[in-house]
Amino acid sequence: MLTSIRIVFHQVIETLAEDGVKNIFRPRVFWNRWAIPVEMDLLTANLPLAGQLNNAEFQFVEITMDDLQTGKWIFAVPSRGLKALRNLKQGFRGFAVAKDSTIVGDLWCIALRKDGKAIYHPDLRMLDIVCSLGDAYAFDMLIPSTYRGKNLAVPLQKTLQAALKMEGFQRVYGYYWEDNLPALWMHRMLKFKELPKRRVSRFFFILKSKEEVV
Amino acid sequence: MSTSDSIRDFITGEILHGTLKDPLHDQDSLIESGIIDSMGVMTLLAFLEDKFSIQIPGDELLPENFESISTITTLVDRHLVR
Repeated sequence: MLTSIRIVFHQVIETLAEDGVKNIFRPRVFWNRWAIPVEMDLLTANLPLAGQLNNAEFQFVEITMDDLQTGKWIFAVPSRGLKALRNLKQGFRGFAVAKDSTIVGDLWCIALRKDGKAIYHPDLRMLDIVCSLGDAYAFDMLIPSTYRGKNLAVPLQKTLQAALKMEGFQRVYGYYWEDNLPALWMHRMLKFKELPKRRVSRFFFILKSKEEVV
Repeated sequence: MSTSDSIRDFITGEILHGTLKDPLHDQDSLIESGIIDSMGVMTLLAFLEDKFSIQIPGDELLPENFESISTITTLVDRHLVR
């Protein structure tokens, strides 16, 4: 609980600094926003081998609890570091783009565990997605504004997908908001298959989601 | 000035900031080659909608539509006709 409060505190500060007051509530209060669920067939996806995406300036890594606890990484966005700790404790997996020892972008996923025990994520209810064995769900990607425009989003996604594919996962789900053009573009560059879109309304913890009727 | 020339001038001047050594041809790859990234596409989209007074719907924001000056021109012309 305390960690969550600290995360929200940092997020508010970061949002105020970057986007202003009006965007503080945007992620949690909105009406009739279109969510586009997507899926990627990992079996047919053309993905790089480990390390192939690294370059002189950036490397693409998986975040581990050991690395966080030993202070290997610092996060360019403080709230992301707190979120990383919380996510890892919850069993989520994190992938990141690092510049030297600073994490400058991260992306998370959940996957059905080998013991068959699913890990819950609230987005799956919103998207009406049920993950089966071999499926994963990728969520909450952030690249801070100072690192955008450097072609980091697509390789970060590919790093996650390549790792999952190597472990035998067959499909990864995700979603983007239709009004988030950079996210829309990234998913189309990666050739995700778009699923029926959903009209979503949210007031803090109250969520309403409905598939579009064509 | 033709549509394609307007687009070419914008890309070379405002997105690439004059850093391209060789002239940009109509069929040159823009997306696959990395000449334009996601931020560049958003900037280009704003320019196209403002310059040509068109609205490009979300379902046409596809990499293949922005792959070259030629494909971008086709996209713009399609909306100009409407």
